[in-house]
Amino acid sequence: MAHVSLANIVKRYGAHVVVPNLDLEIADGEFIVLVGPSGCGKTTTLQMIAGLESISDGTLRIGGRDVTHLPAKARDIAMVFQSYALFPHMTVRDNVNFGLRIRRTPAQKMEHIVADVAERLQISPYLDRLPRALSGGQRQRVALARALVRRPGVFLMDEPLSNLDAKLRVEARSFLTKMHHELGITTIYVTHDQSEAMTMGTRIVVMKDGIIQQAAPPLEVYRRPANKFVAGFIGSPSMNFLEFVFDGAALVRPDTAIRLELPEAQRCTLRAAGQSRITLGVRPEHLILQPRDAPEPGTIAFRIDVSQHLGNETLLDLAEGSFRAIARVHPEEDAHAGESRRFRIDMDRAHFFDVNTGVNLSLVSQYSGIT
Amino acid sequence: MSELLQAKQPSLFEFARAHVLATIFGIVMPLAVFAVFVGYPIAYTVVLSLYEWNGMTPTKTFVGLANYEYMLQDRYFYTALFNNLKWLAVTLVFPVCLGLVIAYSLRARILPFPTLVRTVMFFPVTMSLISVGLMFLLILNPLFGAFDTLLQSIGLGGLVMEWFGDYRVALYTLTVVSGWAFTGMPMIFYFAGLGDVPKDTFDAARIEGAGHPRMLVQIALPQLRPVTAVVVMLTIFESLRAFDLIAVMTKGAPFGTTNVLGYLVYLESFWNGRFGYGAALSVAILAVSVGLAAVVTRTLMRGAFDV
Repeated sequence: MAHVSLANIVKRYGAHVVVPNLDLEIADGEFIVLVGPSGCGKTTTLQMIAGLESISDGTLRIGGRDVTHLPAKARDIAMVFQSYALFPHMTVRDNVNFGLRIRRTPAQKMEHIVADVAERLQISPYLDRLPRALSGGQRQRVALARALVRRPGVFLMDEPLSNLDAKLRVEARSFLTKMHHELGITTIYVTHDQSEAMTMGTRIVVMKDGIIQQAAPPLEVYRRPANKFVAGFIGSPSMNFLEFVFDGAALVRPDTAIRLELPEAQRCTLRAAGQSRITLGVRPEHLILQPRDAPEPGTIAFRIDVSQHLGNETLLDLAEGSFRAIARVHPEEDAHAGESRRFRIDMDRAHFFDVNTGVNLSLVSQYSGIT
Repeated sequence: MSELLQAKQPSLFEFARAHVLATIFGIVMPLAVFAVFVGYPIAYTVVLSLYEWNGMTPTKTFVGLANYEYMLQDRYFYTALFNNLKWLAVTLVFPVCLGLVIAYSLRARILPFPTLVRTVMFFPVTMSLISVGLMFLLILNPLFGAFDTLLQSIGLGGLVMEWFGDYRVALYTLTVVSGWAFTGMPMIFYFAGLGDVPKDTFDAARIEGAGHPRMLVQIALPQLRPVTAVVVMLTIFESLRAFDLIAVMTKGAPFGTTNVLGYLVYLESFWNGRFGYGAALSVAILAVSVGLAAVVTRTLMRGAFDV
């Protein structure tokens, strides 16, 4: 187990800067998930921690040791790859004890360790098979076993579940989380799947263009996104963004009759921000379907384009002029594609973003102690 | 069930009738070219090996297997055969291993200027072995050769020897010269093959603590079995065909110790006027080649594509 510290980490390929300046502290035993779209620098960051990519600038410490320029093998880490990276010509046993053999572990001790880890990961019956004779899920567990036998200080995982089918992925997700609870090894996990990020990490680090957008526990990232990018990336379906003008008391659309009155606290927030145009962010579950005879003020009429029944919930694709939104409603709700219905926005849970910078204005004003 | 399968499989004639152009250009013509340029010479050589013929007179005397009986008692044949096998062993160790190491070093970015190194290493492959031989005759010349001068200038004058005159080293001198010219071939094969080995397996090995030598031997090489099979096959054929360098550099000297089968065929056929015996020696080369190729196919090739 080890604490990991990234200070002013920079990665350049020639003149092209992939990671401009990354600072991140990962506590001992933490399960950190690096999440972001393709090309955001999350895998590069993981590979720099692993020692597979050099660090152009900055300092990396693992367990208090400066490992910035140490080779991968001297960093006390183990890694599980997206492709599992099993050695195809070696049996499962030889794959698993590869690192132990390099470290000249005595045969008896090695056999004991491998048997123990194989038992834990339920791969004991396959120890003498070649990887090609295993299913995807089994291969993934062999890759985990190979990483586990050395009891590393830090576990690095690069999208290890992305090659599994949906059912296995859910199983593997809870398996990994349970394993982390049992072993308490510091884990850095890279994924582009935000549901993996939400369910597995003790902290999520959302990245874009090599820059950390927000690093916080999953629910905090969901409930209090730092900016429009994080708000749109975390959550499925994504947050709805609707542009409004703030007239000092309410949100209005000059070209329509829509007018949304704001609670006093939020008026203060927007006044303090000094913005007239703002982007309103509303999670699909905070667009609340109104009864057909509901009063008009404070609601928006949307045409329901598509109704997606998922069994446990229904997603409604909505349109109103240039507005597009998705609402999550109870599966028993009586709403049909093609009809026009009114929706109320739960303003207490709505977010206001700066139109230009995308910063979450509610958080800015909270942090500056205005509200 | 088998009848059903047979019914689905069209016969050769049905296929030919349905695909006339493909049959003509894809099967008949290549087979005809192969038969004329490969099949006929081999068959003629086998037939010729059963005759005694001086290559001048129109008449040939049928002698049955007499040429083969003579060959089995000919000590020059055994010397040449063993020289070929030594040549093969050195070629497998020196240029093939060196080619693999250079290819790995290029892929692992250990060597600087990879494109330049690749070009320089491959360049000798494109050279005629005759020119290579003439060049090394000058480099290794005992009176004014650059190599001896270099050894002397760095204080290793004690290592200087008669590179072609000493019967203990002459053959190895030839194999090293041949290796110099051949290294680029396995290098380029291994370089291409290494491109297909998943990078993740190297990364995983690195993280597990493997250094480059271990990654080369335990990770890369086992995954390069199909490439190794092809390279070994080529090396076998190249070693058994050896002729040019001997013809230019030693002509079998000293005392026939650098004779190889290819050169012996030439000597017997064109100098001793024994075309029948020369043909029998050629058949022996063919037999050894086929035998060794079969061993490679049964060992290296087996299961090589399963992984």
